[in-house]
Amino acid sequence: MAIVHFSSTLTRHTGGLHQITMDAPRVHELLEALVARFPGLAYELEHLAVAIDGEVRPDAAYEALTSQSEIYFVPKIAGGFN
Amino acid sequence: MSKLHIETLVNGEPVEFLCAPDETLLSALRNGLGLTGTKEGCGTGDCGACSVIMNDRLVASCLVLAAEAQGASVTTVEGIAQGEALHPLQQAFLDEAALQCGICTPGFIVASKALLDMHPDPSEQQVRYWLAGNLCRCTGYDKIVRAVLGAAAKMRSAQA
Amino acid sequence: MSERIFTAVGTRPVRHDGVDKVTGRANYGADLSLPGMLHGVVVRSPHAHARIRSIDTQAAAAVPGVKGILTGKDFALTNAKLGLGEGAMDLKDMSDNLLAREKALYHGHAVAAVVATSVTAAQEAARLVQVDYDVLEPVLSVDRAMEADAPILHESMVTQAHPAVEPAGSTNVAGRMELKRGDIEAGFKEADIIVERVFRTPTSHQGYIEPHACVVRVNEDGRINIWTTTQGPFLVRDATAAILGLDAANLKVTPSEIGGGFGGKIPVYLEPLAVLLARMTQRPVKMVMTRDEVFRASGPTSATKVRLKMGARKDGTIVAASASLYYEAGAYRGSPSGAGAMCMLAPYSVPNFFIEAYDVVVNKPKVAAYRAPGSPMAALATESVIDEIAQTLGLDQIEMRLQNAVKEGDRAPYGPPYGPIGFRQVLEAVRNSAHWKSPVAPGIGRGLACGFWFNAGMSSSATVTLGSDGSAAVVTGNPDIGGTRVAQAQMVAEELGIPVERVRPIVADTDTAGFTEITAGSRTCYATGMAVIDASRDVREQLRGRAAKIWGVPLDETRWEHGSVAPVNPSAERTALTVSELASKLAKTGGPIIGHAAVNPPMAGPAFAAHICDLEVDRETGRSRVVRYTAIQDAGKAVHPSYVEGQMQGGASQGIGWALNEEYIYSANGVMENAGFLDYRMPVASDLPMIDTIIVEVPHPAHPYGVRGVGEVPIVPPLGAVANAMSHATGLRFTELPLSPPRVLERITQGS
Repeated sequence: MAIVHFSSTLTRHTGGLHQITMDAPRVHELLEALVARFPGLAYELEHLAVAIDGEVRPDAAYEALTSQSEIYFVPKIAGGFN
Repeated sequence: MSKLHIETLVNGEPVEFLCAPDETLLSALRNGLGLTGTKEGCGTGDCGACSVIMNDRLVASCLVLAAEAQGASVTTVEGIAQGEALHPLQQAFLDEAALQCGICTPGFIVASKALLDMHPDPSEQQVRYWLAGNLCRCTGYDKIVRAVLGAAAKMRSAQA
Repeated sequence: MSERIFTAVGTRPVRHDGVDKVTGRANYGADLSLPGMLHGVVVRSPHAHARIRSIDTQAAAAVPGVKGILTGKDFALTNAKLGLGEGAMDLKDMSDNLLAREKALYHGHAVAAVVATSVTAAQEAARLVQVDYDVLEPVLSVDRAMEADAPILHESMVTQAHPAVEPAGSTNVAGRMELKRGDIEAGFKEADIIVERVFRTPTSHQGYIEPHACVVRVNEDGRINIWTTTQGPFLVRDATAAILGLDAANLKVTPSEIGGGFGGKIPVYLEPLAVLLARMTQRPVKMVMTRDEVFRASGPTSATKVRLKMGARKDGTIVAASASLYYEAGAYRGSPSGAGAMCMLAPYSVPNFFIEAYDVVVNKPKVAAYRAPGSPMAALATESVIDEIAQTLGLDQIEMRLQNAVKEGDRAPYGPPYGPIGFRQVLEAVRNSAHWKSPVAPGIGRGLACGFWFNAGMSSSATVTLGSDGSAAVVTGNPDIGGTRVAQAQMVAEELGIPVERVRPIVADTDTAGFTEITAGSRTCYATGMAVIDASRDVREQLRGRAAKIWGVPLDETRWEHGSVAPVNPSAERTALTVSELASKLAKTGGPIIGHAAVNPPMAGPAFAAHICDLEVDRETGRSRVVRYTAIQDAGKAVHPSYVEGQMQGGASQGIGWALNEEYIYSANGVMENAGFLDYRMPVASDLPMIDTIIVEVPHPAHPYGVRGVGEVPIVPPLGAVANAMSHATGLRFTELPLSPPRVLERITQGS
């Protein structure tokens, strides 16, 4: 069960939950399950990068998750050239 | 407007070229003679990337007309090393990591040579003020100043 | 990892591209000429905000030597986006920035391009291109842009808001994002002291000395060659192809040596125009910007307004912060306000905060990335307010920062917990430094400030080929802006145990190198470095196979020892073979050896820095001088310490210029009035002292050597360090940059 953390800006879509645990083999399945449970997250998650155990991955879809994985959603860095 | 025929000495070699009356020495060197080591950073004499030595004077070649080179002697960055032997300034720039992107380096090498030709033992402050006409955006000048002071010391001890 | 003994990494060899660069042989963007080459010149808008009614090119076309003229009508706007790791690039905006279609959105916005047999002819024709403008009121500040009656730059603009909000009519607000933690009101109630200030920084430029330049040739078979000075040859290829609707496989981009970039040589400004002109004329086309054009039409960074309110207990513990960041994007969306928001509290553990960041369009050139984009302006606010709190409470500047400093396991303001980071070690190094311990001379102000920046990962490739003489070549796709070739050669030398002089580092074109993201984001030594290390290890593994073949033993009876393959069971006939010995037998043992690797590492261990600035202020003129400066930084592992120091010194110098003098000075109608190096006052050698450096090394766990990116974070602290020094020197708080003599004198004269 990966531990998923929601920042305060996301909790409005999670019914106030700051943290949940979820069983998903990879980020891809995790995101699908999250959106199924909290449809309001869809738009926000599309624009966020995924941090797995503190490592931010802009292309995380197929990254494997373990029961110890800690997930945060992080703003993408635009860096002024988007 | 017909072009002017100019005979001059570049890095010790006699050369001839044709130039428009309003063409700069920088353009004649780069486009006419293919000496692209001299760089253009601003075209207004503010950055020093186009520094060359003309008749023993350090000049911004973007502010000199090509026609003014008639009968003159011009030294560019390509004329600083003696064959395969680098000038002590060039070696010092390498040893001190005094260049990052390297676009300003030809101008700094030429300007520093002009300084050391006149003042073989400059102070740090003299180096800084002499090189105040050469912009470097990468290094913060620290390693450039060290390289020039180091090269000067080496050149003095080689003479002694 | 920390116990590892390095042989090549950490040494200071001469860079491989050095001799060419000190003798004038190195070829930069404007140095290439091709037979039959034409010259392209851009026609630029003389108005900051104007609708284009019509463009008449007849007179221009009649100039002898003119071969073609291009206007916005000649290529369609694309709706494509290009995903590029650190944020997708909106190519529609970039395309409109290349040549204005409906409206000119800043003074200097390209409206047409002329190609002719000489620069002179092209310039003359450019002057004769007649554009009929309907001049509109320019929007020149975030304050004006956000007023209800402000002129709107883009009628179709919708605020990209995170969290989402209902769109509300026409707006110049391109984006808004929030970061929150804890209970902000409760937090401020705990505070014994609350300081709130509004900071402003001006539009400023990266100031690379080499102007943008490229040459394009269309081959008879339709393939397009682009030689250009860029931080990202693959990006130039992909963006140019997408903007023009071409197949990227038909484009080959060869990066020249690059004369500085600092983020400003990421966008494309000239290349697609040169491609169109080269196709139009079927001749090679060269385009080179003037310095004036570089200032007016290429990447400045955002002017900003940052409000920060911070509360602390008497003992210096920060309990709450709220901040609003307003960053100018220039003419199109995409300021680094989000990055500013993520960075501004990143060095400190703040239990309750609320940060909102706005991306606002104005009639100025579209901002480009500039070294740690967005972070310096935000750090100015944080470090100035902390300085003021510490000063008011009578606390030591370092102690207050140490008390709040983040450590491993603390959560970053943008979410996840930090891994091993070196901020505390950096602060300890400040405290132990000769500079900090030295007394502050009378008339001098001493300022301290800290900074944070990320360490981008993203895709990189590397190939290492072993020669039969035991030398190696390493091929990558990152233009070398400040010594990355030598650093990569050091990594190969480290892995193969051969001398660094025997490694040839090569920056290749887009047909030759594997896909590699831009030289930016402090990523080249980190991410591309990882590919180089992996490719070298691939070579090592193949060398083990060759040794096994020679000895007639299975692979697992060989092992790598630094610089050689050793038998697990040595005998008289079976002794270790060096790389050179194995290389000399390549043909007999199976042919050449090529190692490759491709990686996409995460963005992980960030970098922290702290700078100390001693500033002397002339109270009669307002002129100030930096008399002593020290930069301290966690580099993870310094591969080539001289070039790490160089990055620290260069970043400090750029930041000092930004703090003291650099700014775009605009007229009321939006014209930059100082578009030259004489009046846009960057630091010169006589403005600066030696810049001392202290490299701290807390290894980065995601990199085999512990390397962290070093290029960007050193520009984050200087704004705050200089402003704090100025405040201590004068007894006045300065919140608006630059701290130029007139501004400082005015404050001193007013005495408040």
